[in-house]
Order: sequence, then structure tokens, then C-alpha cells
Amino acid sequence: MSYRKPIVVKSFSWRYATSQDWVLHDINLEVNEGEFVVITGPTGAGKTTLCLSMCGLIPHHYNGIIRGNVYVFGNDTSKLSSSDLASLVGIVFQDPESQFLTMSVEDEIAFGLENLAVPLDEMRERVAEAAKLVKIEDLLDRAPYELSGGQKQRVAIAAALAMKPKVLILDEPTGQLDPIGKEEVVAVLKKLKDEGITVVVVEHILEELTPFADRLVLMNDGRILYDGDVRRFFENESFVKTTGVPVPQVTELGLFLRKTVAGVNKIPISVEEAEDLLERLLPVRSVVGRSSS
Amino acid sequence: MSDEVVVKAKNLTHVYSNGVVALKNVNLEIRKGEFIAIIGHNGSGKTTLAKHINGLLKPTAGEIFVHGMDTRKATVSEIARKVGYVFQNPDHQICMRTVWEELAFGPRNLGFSEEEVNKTVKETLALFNLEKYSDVHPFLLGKADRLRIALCSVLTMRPETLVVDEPTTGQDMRQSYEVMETLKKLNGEGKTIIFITHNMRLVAEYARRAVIMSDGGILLDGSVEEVFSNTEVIARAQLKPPQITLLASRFKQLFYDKTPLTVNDFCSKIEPLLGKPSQR
Repeated sequence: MSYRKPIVVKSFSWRYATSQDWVLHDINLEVNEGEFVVITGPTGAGKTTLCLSMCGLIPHHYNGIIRGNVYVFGNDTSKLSSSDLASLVGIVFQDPESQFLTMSVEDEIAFGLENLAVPLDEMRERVAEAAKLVKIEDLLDRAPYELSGGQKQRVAIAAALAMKPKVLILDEPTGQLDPIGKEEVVAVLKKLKDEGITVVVVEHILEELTPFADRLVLMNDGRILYDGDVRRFFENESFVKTTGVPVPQVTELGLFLRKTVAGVNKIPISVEEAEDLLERLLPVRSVVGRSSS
Repeated sequence: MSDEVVVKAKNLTHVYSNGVVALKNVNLEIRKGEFIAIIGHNGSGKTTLAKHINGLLKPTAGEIFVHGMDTRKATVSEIARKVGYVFQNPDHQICMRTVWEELAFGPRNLGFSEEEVNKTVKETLALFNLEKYSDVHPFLLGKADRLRIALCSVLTMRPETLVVDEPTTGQDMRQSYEVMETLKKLNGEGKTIIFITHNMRLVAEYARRAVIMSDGGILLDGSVEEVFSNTEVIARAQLKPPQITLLASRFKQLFYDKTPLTVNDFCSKIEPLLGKPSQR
């Protein structure tokens, strides 16, 4: 049954007790096993609220009015306990510090496990495994607050992974990071995908993620405006313009090429794809090589 | 751009009280009307440098002159008349109960007449289409709007030079471009714009000059084109040029004379070549 899928959001609407209008309007969204889904959209679109709803923090920790349901592996989140939810869905926020509580990276990663009363041996194993996955094995004794932005975010991801969630949701995990930090976190995300973990990421700048995203979901005003293939999204140029979603530069180039010459069937969404396309369209290197020799 | 030097740092060094050397012998000259980006990873000294330009930090060695003033001798308010500084986190500077009051705070402190205050606040709100928030408490607004309020509250003091620390953090792309367009407009009116950012695409599209910082020193200082075509230094600073510049670096023979910074640059270069039928 489709409700066994990692996440099924069904005719779901939500308004916070404090908000004047619905923040999410009749959302329908399914996330499949092993999928890497990117959610994007302008500020205030409802992306964070959707993340909170998919991990069950809404309705458990927020007051508001709910319509419809969110199912995690077939279980209605409003009926699951926090601890059951915690072992199914992990969440990482934009500001990693907002979830830090302890004085060492190791304690931080172990915190959730302690709450679930996981036996000590297993806890050690899971902390080590999670730390290894995000490459922070050498930081376990450090205090979270003295780390760089990228390191902090990886600690937050490790803390979520240690719970062995079946789905990991990340809300703008690179939003506050410098270029190195971003690259570190993107590398971790790619690895999670390769490990087969189901991942949902909220992001504004897509060019780093599009090369390996399975699906793009565009939100605005609490609604889903697009849900489907990444490349196909960017191919619909006039629609993309109305959304304000930044088009990766190489994709923009691909759209130009498609209009200018024949033979551009697939627009590029990564630098490598653009390079291949250009080599095919204008065998520059070989041409120049010949003329200069 | 004129010949008037608005910022001149000579062997500027800053050692924080905890012993961290944040700036080491920085030499930098910025002229009136420049649009300059300061880039580099966290901890490279960007913000420390920016805080010397507004006099919040004083050199521990070397010196810096801002609009002719030695910042060690000038008061912060004297510098504030010339240099506006927008913090990375808008909440670090917002302190009043309404947006209007927030915008009036700076010019009042500088002794503007109430008439002048009204005029500058009104004009600035209009510039950002924020009139509707005039009576709203700044903290009731979203982060993106708070950032714009912070920017406005500096602009009302009519500074000649604007230092903006990460103007687009927490904004979506449309809002980021809005902020950058405003900076561009202010630059067009003759203001000197110095901005710090991690977004290389915005550097490529808006700045004319870029300074790469690393370990408290300047690694490279030049036109944006020059800086982004120096792949070796870019890599050393652990930065990444915009996608299109990166792509161009793999087709060096085509772009030997001019590094493209925008998709348009790239297209106009390859367009003539595309007319010919492919050899394959």
C-alpha cells in the first residue's frame, strides 16, 4: 500500500495558532524509499513548516489547526509518540547551534540515543558510525561551539543519523555556511544518497544539488507548484521565470544553446554535462589543437 | 570612479585580545565610487577588515584612513557620517520599536533636523517599498525584511561609503537580487559599495573589483575578471568561481583573452562558432 512509503502527505493543511491564514494549503506529497528530494521556493513559502510537519514536530510541539494527514511509513504522525517519530525521521535545521545542548561533539551525537535508552555498547558503535559517515571522527572530543560552520552542521547531521532514521530532512543545511562548509555538507548529502538513505532537503541555491537530486518540489504561498524531474523543471523556461527560482548558469547556457543550434536534446544541469555538450557542439579543443600545431 | 581615496589601509594589523591575529599587514586602497567585493572563507578576516572601515575596531598595528580620517583619532560618530555599516545579523543593530523610529535613529543621533530626518526616512522607505511597515515593530518582520530595515536605517544617515556584511544571507534569490540591485543603484548615485559575500555569482554579476582574503591577509586584489580567472589562487583560498567561469576555464582556447563572468558573456563568445555546422 502506498502509505507504507517513507512519507505521504495527504490533503494536508496547517495554520499556526498565531498565523492569520493557512500556512500550508492542501499539500499532497509522497517521498519514495531511497529518493533524494529537493524542496525549494521563496522565503515564506511554507518549506520549513512542511519540514516540521513531515517529522512530526507539527502537530506535537506546535499549536495550530490541522487538516488532512501526514504518514510516515504508514503511521499517522499525529498518533505516533515523539520517540517513535525520532527513530523514523531525523531533522537538521539551518542553524546547527539551535539544536546543540552538550559540551562535546560525542555527547551531542549520543544525546538522542541516551534519550531512547540505547545500550552503551550500541551507543558507542552508532556514534562512531555516524561520525565516520560525515567525517568528524577526529572532532569527537571538541566542543560543538568552537567548530567551523561546516563542522557544526556535520555534527548536527551525525546526531540525526545516529538515531538511524529511515528518512532525513534537512532545512537549508548550507544556508549559513561559507563555500568550504557548503561543499563539505553537499559531499555528505551525496554520500547519504549513495548509502540509499531517503533524503529531503530544502535549498534556495540549487546548482550544487541538481546534479544528484531525483526530484524537485517547488513551493510558494503554502502550495506545491511543481513536483517532478529537475531537468524538466528547468526546461519550462517561461514557468521557471515566474517562480524566481535561480537557474544554474550552465542550465541557462543550455537553454540558449537549445534555441541557437539543433541537437540539444538534454539541457545540462551540471558543469560536467555542459562541458560534454559543448565538446559535442563545437569540438573546440581538437580544433584549436590542430590549428595551433 | 574618481581619484579620491576613501579607504587607505597601510600595514593594517589586528590582534584580538585573545591573541588571534585576524589581520596581518593588510594594504588596501579603495577609491570613491568603487563596487568592491571582499571574499574568502570564514575566519579569513573579512569582517575584521570591514569593522576597521567603520572604526568599530582600531588597528593594533599599522593604520587605516577612512575619508581622510585616521580611525584611531576620529570618533565612531565622525566616521558614521561618512561610512554606513550593515551588520551580517540585522538583529545586532535593530533597537527601536517601529520601523520609522529605527530609520530615524541614526540621523537623529547625527543631529539632523527633524525635517531632514522625515525627508530621509520617507525617501529611504520608498526606495525599498517598505512604507507599509512604517509603524510595525521591526522584530515582527521576517528575517529578509529585517535585513532590509537594517540597510535602510544606515542609508538614512546618507553615508558616502557603504559597507555591507553578507547582504544576502537568509534571503531567497529574488530578495538577494533586490538587495544587490539597490546597492547597484546607490553605486550609480556615486556611493562607494564594499560588500562581503559567499555568493560568487553575485560577485561576478555586480562587483567590479574583488579582494580575496585568507588567513588575515590579502591573497589577491584585482578586477573581478582577473580574480576569477586566477584558478590557482581561487583554489588556494578554497573558493569556487561561478559555474560559467569554471566551465570557461575548461575551454581556455576560446576564452584566452577575456574570462566570462556571466552567461551572456559566455554566449556572445561562442555564438559565432555555433553558426558553422558541427564537424561531427
